[in-house]
Amino acid sequence: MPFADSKGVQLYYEEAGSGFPIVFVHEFAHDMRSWEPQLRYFSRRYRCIAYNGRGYPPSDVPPSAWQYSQAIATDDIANVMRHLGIRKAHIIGCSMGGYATLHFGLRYAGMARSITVIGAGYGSDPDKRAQFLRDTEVMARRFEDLGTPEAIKVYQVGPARVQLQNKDPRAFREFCEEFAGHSALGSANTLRGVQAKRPTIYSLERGLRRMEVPTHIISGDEDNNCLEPGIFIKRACPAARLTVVPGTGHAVNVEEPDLFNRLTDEFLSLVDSGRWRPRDSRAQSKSTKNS
Amino acid sequence: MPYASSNGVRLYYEEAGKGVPIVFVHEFSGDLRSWEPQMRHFSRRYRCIAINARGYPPSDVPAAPSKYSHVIGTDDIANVMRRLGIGKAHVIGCSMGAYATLQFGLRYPGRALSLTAIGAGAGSDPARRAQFLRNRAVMDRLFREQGMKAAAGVLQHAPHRIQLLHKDPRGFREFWVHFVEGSALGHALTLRGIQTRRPTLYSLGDRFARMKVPTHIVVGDEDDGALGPGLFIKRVCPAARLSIVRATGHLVSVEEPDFFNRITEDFLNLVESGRWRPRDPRSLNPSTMARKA
Repeated sequence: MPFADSKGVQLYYEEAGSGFPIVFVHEFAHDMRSWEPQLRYFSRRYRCIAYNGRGYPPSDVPPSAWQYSQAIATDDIANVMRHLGIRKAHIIGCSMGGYATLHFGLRYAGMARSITVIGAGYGSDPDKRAQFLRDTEVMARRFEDLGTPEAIKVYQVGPARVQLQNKDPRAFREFCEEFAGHSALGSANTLRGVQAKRPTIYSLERGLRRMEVPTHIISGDEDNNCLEPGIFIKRACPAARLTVVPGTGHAVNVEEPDLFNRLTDEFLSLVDSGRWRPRDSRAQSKSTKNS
Repeated sequence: MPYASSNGVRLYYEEAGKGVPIVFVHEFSGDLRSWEPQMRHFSRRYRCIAINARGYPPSDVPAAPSKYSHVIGTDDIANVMRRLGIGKAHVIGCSMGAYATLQFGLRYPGRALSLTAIGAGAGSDPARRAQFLRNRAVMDRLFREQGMKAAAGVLQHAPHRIQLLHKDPRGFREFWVHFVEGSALGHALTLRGIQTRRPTLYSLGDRFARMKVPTHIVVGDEDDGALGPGLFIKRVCPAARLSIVRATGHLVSVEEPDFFNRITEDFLNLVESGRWRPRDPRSLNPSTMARKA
């Protein structure tokens, strides 16, 4: 099995296709298998790499929460790329992986040709911050006390997951089965080390205003915690474009693979062709002269 | 030329295709010709009707300001349907027409199979309300005193229209040519009677919360005045779904006809199949976890 070394931690990855590289970064409740519809589609034109984050076997599961953080998760992307001899790639991440992707755009701008950020924003809303931190700690303890299959029962039917259950029960079953196989220790450490400690989207404003990496933000219209953060990024960052997908929850690429692939294909083609442009400064006037 | 009369005012319309009806309601700076890509696409399966609002020739341009209001604009949709013997239709509107479409859903829910509202919400933001009204007053005077070309010239490069110029200069030119062919009097009266007097979308929250007509809100991500209202309707109305379209301004159906047609077709198919459902109440839980496993 292929592994990339990231400062002594072995990260499992899979590869498909050849061409310019795309790196896929999964979310908390998924692993690299959630990118299957993207690997099958984009490998026709791109070299696709999907890897499992630390804490997600077959990747290593470091035993302590301090071995997990937003900064480390972001460095892991760069280290996987270095291991594969990739200097620049399109990066696509979902949720927790979306955060890491956004940070990658901020910290490793020279290594990102574009970034696609799905469903990022959890824990950003100041009014819901306390609840988010409580929920995160409750979940971490559930993983430790109950083991993964029992722990995830309240999470897999959370408010931004029921959409998948309603629209595609087969995909939902697959999601639950794969989630149930995750490491309880890895999940608890990820919750405490990455999710509870990462900076909110709003605190990234200064960096976002200057970031020039072509950026596509994608959220489901029922993923409550990601709507305002998405609009915030769109308004702060001239390089960002925003898509909200109708009747959809958290993992847009899993719920609506067809629409997601099409939107992403179009975005990547625009960037690859050299015709991508940031937002016209005239489109940011406060005045709306007409409607 | 086909006209439908609405309380004595003659409204020009065009028709294409047959099947379940779709009625298209245009925006302030366009007319029914702005729906051409939709008429060509949806007429393959639907009976498509596009209307020119009052004030937009060849429809009548009544000279009395009292003949223009958002209530009258909404009744005009119902009256055209009546004249054509249409009981129920999918209604699709853009901007001012989207506002009328939403009002149609509130006031004539039994006659709407579904609502699609593109770029609705200008003038709703309380922080920018005063500026919105000032702009409208200036524009009203420009239309009256200097005519279509001068007034339209001020609007053509508005922050939420510039996107069309960049991505489709041919489409932009056509938009401009059609716009300046309009009636200056009709535009001035429309501004005064409808745009400055209609209630804001935020003031209609209670009514949207009860509305059960399947609804699709479509907003460009650079249409700043419509983003907040779009989110508001999505959250308050369980029947509403929201699309925000990337790198796009006000006129999503004109700027991104292909993408708009596709997401609209998905939505209409869902409604037509009987499988459309309102929002699952479990998705409103403020926690990231379920209330019960």
